[in-house]
Amino acid sequence: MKLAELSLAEVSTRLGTTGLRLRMGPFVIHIKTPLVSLQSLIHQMYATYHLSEERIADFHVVVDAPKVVRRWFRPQAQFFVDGYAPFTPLPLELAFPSLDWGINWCIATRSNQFLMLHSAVVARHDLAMLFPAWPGHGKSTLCTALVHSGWRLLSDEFGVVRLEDRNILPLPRLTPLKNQSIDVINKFAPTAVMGPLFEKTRKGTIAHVHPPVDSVDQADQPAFPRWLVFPKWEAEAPLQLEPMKPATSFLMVATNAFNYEVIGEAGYLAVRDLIEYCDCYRLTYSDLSQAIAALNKLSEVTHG
Amino acid sequence: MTETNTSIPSSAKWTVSSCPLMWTQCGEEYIVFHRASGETHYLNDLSALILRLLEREPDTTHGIHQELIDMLGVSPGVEVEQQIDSLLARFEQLGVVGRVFTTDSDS
Repeated sequence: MKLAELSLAEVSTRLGTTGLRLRMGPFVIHIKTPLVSLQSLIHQMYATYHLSEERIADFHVVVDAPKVVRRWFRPQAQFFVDGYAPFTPLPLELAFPSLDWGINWCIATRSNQFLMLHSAVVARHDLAMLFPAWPGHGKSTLCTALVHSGWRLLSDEFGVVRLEDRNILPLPRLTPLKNQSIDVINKFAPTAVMGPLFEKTRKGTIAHVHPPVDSVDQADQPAFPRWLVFPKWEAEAPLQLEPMKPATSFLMVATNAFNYEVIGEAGYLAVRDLIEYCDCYRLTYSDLSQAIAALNKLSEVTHG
Repeated sequence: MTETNTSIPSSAKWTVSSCPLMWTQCGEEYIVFHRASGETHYLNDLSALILRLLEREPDTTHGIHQELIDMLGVSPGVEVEQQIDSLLARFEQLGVVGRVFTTDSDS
């Protein structure tokens, strides 16, 4: 059952009482909030996610108003996980980004049963193309453009590597676009479903792009790693897609992971296998259409 | 790895960490995982050769100099010895290699 099949009133009641359990890839997130404006946004933004019937959740999160006098003259929202507040409160109007960032933080810091790469991932024919990158290198914009050009979204933020078999598990979450990227995607993919603009966040203005419904519905279908592409957007840069040396790729993947050092030998062995299974490239681009054409061609040549 | 200027006695005897190293060869470069520290190191061929030698058996600084000079076919000299010593010192800092301390009765 999808969240959209519940009325706003039902969703609000659950969020305000027992909580709502949503499946996001391999994780079940248990969410509670008494904040009415946030209840409405959760109903709207997570509409395509499946409800989970599992009693055990991976993360129990709450967004509530901090218990201080300030709440009466400048309302705020505070994210909690297991009763602990890892971040300072944000203005009430940023309650939804606070929830979304908070869930990302939980996933990034508490999922040591996987190798967690800081990477966007898309797939075609169940073969995964990973884009490990530092913030600001344009991976979310590129990923969003690709999933609106025929690729399946696995994640815009997390390369979830299953340690048992090295498959990449889908985690199709909302893709937060920042500042100029919002206009870029609005022009490139006018059919992309985007949520409201949140202004004056610590990252500037952000808007969340909904994952395609097909990608959410296929969130139980892993993809096998086939390409590692290290992207970098540079204004006016000509397109360059160059093979990368395996040793350099190894170090870049390892240093881009959230938990490589935490999981020790298991992480080393997983990265070693990724480098063996994947063709590795460095991509520099300024034009999305050119980049996508090059990546399409790459996938056709090496898949086909 | 950054190089350090350290004076190392030629009689110092070296061995690799008691935890086995895990190797990945990528062409002429190597990635080594050091189980004891959980650290991953990127090695060029000279660094890799030093560790391979010490994995085979402990050796003195002088012995390592001689063996590497023979293997690489380079002319002996202060420069190459300093380069090897710097790598040994760096490996020691990282805990990948250590010195073997012998008692009088051992020597």
